[in-house]
Amino acid sequence: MPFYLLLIVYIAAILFGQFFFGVSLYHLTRFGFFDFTARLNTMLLAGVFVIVIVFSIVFLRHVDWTETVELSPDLTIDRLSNAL
Amino acid sequence: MKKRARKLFPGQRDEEHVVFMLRPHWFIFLRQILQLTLFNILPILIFAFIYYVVGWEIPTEGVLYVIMVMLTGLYYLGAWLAYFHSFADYHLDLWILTDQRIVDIEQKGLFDRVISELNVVKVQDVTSEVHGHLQTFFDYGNVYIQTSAETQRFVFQNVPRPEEVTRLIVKTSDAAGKRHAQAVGHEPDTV
Repeated sequence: MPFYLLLIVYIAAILFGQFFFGVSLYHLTRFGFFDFTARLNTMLLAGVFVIVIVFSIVFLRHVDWTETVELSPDLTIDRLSNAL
Repeated sequence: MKKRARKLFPGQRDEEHVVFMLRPHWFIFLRQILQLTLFNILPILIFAFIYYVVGWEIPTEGVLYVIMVMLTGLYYLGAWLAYFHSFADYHLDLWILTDQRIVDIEQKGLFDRVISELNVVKVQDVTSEVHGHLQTFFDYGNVYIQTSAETQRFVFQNVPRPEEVTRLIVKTSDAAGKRHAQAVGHEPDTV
């Protein structure tokens, strides 16, 4: 299994989270109560999204997404299937 | 030209004046904030425990590392989204008293919203209720509004300063009753 499948699942989960955020934000603005506390909380959540995305890029930038899945340097799917 | 009052809530009428807009007491939402704080600290404690106590350095290669980074990212997003969802829920629960009516806006989850209102003239009995040491200490509780229709009862749950809220509702209802009586041309009933 290539690594990029994990990346696709991860990106899909983040996009789903953004959709959920969008729906909550829509409710806050649609019903006319987008005051200071609502703005503050929206900014905080948007900030968390940015931090998570930036940290993901920083921590995962060296990963070769075309490689196949390796559970640890010594433990691969091939070795596991051979052992089984 | 007559200046139009600023609309404070959706559906506010042109000649309607807001007496108060209430949300549940901040103490009710404090639990969500504490929960979020705990959820934010928990992974840091777990990683610190793994690194300093167990002495396990997670290799930066391999699927385990990638999965851990991704799960940590999703965990934080999930915790914050859950918090934001409860904030929206809390923020959109509103009780509004105007000189004409009482509006109860209740948000249930993301897609359910119930708006009920009653004519302030129909208010018959208002009761405030403060239970327990927390409600007494932080001065919040429930306010029950009984209308002339026997079955209808409005409840303001966990609102700040319930006794003051009760007084304001009674005062506004009395004033509206007098206006109504003058409009229909007879004296209001006195109790």
